[in-house]
Amino acid sequence: MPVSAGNGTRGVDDRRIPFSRLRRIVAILLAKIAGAFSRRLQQGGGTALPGLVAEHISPDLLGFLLSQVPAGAIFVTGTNGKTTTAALLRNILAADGRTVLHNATGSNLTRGVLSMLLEHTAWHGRLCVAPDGIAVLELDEAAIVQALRQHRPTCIVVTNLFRDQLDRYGEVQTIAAGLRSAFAQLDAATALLLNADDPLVASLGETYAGPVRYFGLDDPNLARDDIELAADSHYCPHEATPLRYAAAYYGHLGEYVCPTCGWQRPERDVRATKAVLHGFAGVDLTVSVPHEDFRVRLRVPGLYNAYNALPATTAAWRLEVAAEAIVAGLNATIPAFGRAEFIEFGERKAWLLLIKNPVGANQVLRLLAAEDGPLHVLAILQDRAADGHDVSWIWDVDFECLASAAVTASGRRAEDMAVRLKYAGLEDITVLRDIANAFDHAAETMPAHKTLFILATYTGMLEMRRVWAERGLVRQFWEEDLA
Amino acid sequence: MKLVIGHLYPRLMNMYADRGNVICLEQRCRWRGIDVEVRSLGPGPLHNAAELDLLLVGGGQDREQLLASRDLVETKGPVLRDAMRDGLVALAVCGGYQLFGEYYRDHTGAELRGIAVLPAYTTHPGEGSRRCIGNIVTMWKGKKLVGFENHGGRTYLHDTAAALATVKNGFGNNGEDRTEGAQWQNVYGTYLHGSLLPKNPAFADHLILQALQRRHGAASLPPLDDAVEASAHERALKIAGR
Repeated sequence: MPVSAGNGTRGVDDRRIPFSRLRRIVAILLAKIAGAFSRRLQQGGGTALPGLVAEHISPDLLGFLLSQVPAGAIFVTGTNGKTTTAALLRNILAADGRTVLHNATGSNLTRGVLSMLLEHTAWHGRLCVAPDGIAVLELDEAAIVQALRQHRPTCIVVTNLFRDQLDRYGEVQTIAAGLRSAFAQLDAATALLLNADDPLVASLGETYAGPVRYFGLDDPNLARDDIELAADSHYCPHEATPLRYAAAYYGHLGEYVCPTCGWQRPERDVRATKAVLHGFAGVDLTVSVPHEDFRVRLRVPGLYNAYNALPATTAAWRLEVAAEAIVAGLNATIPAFGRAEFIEFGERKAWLLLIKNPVGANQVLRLLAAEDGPLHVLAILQDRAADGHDVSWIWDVDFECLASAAVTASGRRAEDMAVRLKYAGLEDITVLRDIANAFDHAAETMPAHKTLFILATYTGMLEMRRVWAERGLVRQFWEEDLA
Repeated sequence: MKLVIGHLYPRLMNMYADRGNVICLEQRCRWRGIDVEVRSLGPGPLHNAAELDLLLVGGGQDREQLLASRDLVETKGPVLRDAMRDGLVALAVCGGYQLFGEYYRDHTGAELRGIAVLPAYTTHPGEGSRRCIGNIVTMWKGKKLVGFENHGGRTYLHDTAAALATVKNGFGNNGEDRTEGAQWQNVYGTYLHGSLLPKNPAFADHLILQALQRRHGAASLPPLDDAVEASAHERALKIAGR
């Protein structure tokens, strides 16, 4: 904590600047300098460095800046869908005419949020934002716990909890316990908006003292017979009993009941009553909020993305946004960078699809399985900190459905990916560790009219985009943020 | 020829993708024309344990491990112990390895019983202690094994001669005595994920051959083209700094 040496003398000499405030000013100035340098050096567009510098010097700066946001903040957390949910909500609020502060670059640690806020901050610490300004902030499962120590948001959205980078985040139960104890410090001023279909997420609402709202899917046509093998939390949080699923959607999401204690999926305030998947073209969704139903055509593909419309709608409904703005915002949203991003190069086309954990990757593979074969795939596996150092998780991904595909394996762990694919029954596998070379090879060996599907872990996705940006195929994500 | 693989608690002990070991054994048998049947062994009584040739169990979350421990000790333990005494080839990874030992004492001091087929016991050094996480390289019978470890518990052997391998890089059983894993008869315990077997095909074939010898008296295995596996193994060595 910063030492407030100036406080004791404030009454005596008003001309003195309190030490904590001085510290803030130094933090802001140095952060702005760091940001300028970082951009000039092209080191990631300055999405994290300014915040990192600032929070080092002034650890309570995040809370100080957020307290100045007139309409408060909405925190979005969970394993999968944070970036897309936040983007959907941002667009809904924009369609409603509000001014939104949003860490759109997916830099979802406190330093990323801080970097974004600092762009709107004057050197003396005043946040420059319109009187209706509201913040939509994506925070990862660990960062939200830190952020909650400094600021109480109006709403917290939890999308889902799946196993993800176990070497970084730990087990799913541990993450849930961390969230539960952080939420226990909050009060009625903060509403929890929870995924009813995820038993572990839903159980967070049971112990919460403030308001809780639930969202979920109610379309039996999308239900599978049984939960997939990669499911993590299919046990009752109260009993040592496997939950019984009347409908399983994906991962451990579904309609469940505990056969021992009767604990079951909570009532949903916001529901998707019908979802029709149209492959990469998007999803037709019928959404039901209390006293109102509406239909949207999402431009984000797959069931896993359709799910993200629910937390976004729930937050908007909680903020009393009109249905017209919700529909407009949902319809307008295109996938966030690297999450089903489409590019054309020459006569060829490519989809870039982020994969980072078994449940999410299986959802992406389900999208691919619906495409006309034979598929051409570039699979990029990295093991840097942001990807998770442990690559074991690929063995829980059902790559078997790609058996007839031609795949180029790439990235720091290209060889691991190649082994996984070999054991999944694939015969056409090329290993090229360098991502630019692998992309060229995959594109050149593919018939001109075909589409290349690129599956990439986080840093692999960034590297692929960097290669494209150098060739003028896309803009870098921080430039898009400014657009 | 046919082998039966028992996958113990595929849903309970599924956290660290050790399913890759099952996939690996299955495919390496099929590629050699050996029929394979994989049986999922969830909680409940185990019949026909004598039909099993290979038994695999992976790592789970603490809560799931508690449920698995209860079933293993109270329901399946005696049957499985008999089968393993009779030469059943078994591979237990991480949480599964801990349950094949004598006990797991967690950070509160509470003890989770194991089935004690491996001469090992595990203690958690207390809340706030560092987990053993990272790439690991060990030496097994003059060959290197590569993998990734991620465990809070420290495992100790009554006699270090019972270790499966020696640590070259990483923590291993406890980060102190350079032992990794444990072995008793044809039962192997280890902390290596990765998954372990696909990147260490020699170890995978060792298990298959032992199972074939026991059931069918086979003396050798036809070799496979392991170029892809070898390059992944080499890459893992390089990244681990070996």
